[in-house]
Amino acid sequence: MTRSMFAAAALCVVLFAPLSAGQRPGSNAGGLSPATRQELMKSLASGAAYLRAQQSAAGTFDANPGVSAVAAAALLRQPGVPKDMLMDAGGKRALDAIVKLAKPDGGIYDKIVPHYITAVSVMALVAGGRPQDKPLIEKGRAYLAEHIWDEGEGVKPNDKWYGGIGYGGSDPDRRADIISLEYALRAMKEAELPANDAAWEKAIKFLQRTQNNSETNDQGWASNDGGFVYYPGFTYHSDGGTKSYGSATYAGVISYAWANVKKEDARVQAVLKWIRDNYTVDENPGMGQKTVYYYYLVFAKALQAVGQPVIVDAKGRSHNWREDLAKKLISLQHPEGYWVNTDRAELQDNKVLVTAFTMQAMEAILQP
Amino acid sequence: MHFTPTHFRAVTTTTLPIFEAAVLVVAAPLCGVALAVRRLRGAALAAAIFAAALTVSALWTILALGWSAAGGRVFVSYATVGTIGFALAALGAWFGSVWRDPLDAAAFSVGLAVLAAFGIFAAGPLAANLPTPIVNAALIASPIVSAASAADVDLLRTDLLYRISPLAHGRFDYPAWFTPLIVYGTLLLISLAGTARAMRKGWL
Repeated sequence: MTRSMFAAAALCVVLFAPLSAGQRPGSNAGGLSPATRQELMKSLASGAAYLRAQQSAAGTFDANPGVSAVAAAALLRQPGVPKDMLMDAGGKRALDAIVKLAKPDGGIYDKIVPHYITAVSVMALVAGGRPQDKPLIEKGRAYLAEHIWDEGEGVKPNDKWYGGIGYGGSDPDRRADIISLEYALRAMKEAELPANDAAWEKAIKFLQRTQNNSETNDQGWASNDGGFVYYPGFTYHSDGGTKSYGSATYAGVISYAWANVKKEDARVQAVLKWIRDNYTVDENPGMGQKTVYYYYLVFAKALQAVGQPVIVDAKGRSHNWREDLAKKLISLQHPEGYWVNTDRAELQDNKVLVTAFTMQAMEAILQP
Repeated sequence: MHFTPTHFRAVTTTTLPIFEAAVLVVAAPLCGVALAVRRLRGAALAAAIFAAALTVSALWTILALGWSAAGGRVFVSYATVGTIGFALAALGAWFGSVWRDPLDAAAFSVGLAVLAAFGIFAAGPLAANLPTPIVNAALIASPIVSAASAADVDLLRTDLLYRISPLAHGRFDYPAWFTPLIVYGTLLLISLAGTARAMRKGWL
């Protein structure tokens, strides 16, 4: 596949985007207007071109296995572009680099943060869809399910860490957190871990203990705003205490969705109340600009997964979140095609990572 | 608190080399100064005792985990701790041989080691804005981080540091296993050469 052929294909995608699958012509109630959709596809193509230009000959991005896997998944899921084109345009090289990191125990990582790297690597391999990667995907999802804290590691069901997962490695702490769990559950879901696997129920225990919902949270600190904290009893909300904040809350509600908890469930309804009370695409509520691009990613994936096309906020105003977020992301793109955060925390000064997050958020916006 | 096999494993595989490195940050320069004051009399015995203690510690870890699970990592880890210990002791000896007042030598050598070990953590929010190469250099310079990294411990993402330090929330790379050996090995050679030169000149 030559570069010019790929560019021509991408141009077709942009020009004919309004006619692509998933669009309801003439309607933007809870969907995207044709003009915004076209702008979004153009923005995605530009972001994808930026990312491809950053790929090394070895297939990696930024010499970092985590960033590489997130970027590979974003590129391999680019809407409207045939998979074989995506594979030829660096996808295959990226997947080959990921495969080289596979460990005998099912983990897919270099040295540090094995759980997180395995999760994003599994997601990239799933996005690639190559038959030869299926055994690695199955071993990877089993590795993640196995590393959820449970009786096997001496963690009892009444322990606050039970059902959670952390960064992994030789860490003496039994720390788990909602963000690591969201990545793990997303990977397990995408890798089609059976719905009756015990790992899902264990994860729900941890989710309940991370949610500010005293009805279902048995921890003494829990209040009732419905949102989530970083891990039981600890938050990164700028006000401190145990206040819920944006990215943790959307990670929480999407984790319930991955763990097969229905939208009608009281726990999910409690989160949706927090979302209505704190709706915004201008910042990560409670954190300002810190990790706002991860917020955008889980915001889009969560609202798409729970099937909530319109959010009515606390003041009674209706928000078409797809339209709001699409316009916001388009406005934040740099002319060279990348996105980057003004706040460096959590590697969000990394253009490749932030561009990949944004592309994945856009891909969720485009899904019906 | 009851120590279960899980606790035992956690102590031997993770906490111990880090704890030992933390002790060495203060103890090794002081030993070096003391030996310099005695014109290095007893240095061989002190070195032998230190090496024996490290060997016992390493064997304890291998016995707890088994050679196949821990062998290579324990070797690298204790080689790193040993090199750090000898280098900081040699630094203390160098300062002790240059300064007339042993208390000055002790204060400067321990102060320098403590600054290297904890400076990057003490920098607080300032560290978050440092360029990645400077952060990486500071991590290599820290005996604590070097020992932890050699032991395959993701120190900056342990609960307490992750909560209080901005370092773990930004871009950084732990040193490769051989880097601290090179850096502290170089410090050891320079300090030994400095000590020998100072003693030849009769500064003591």
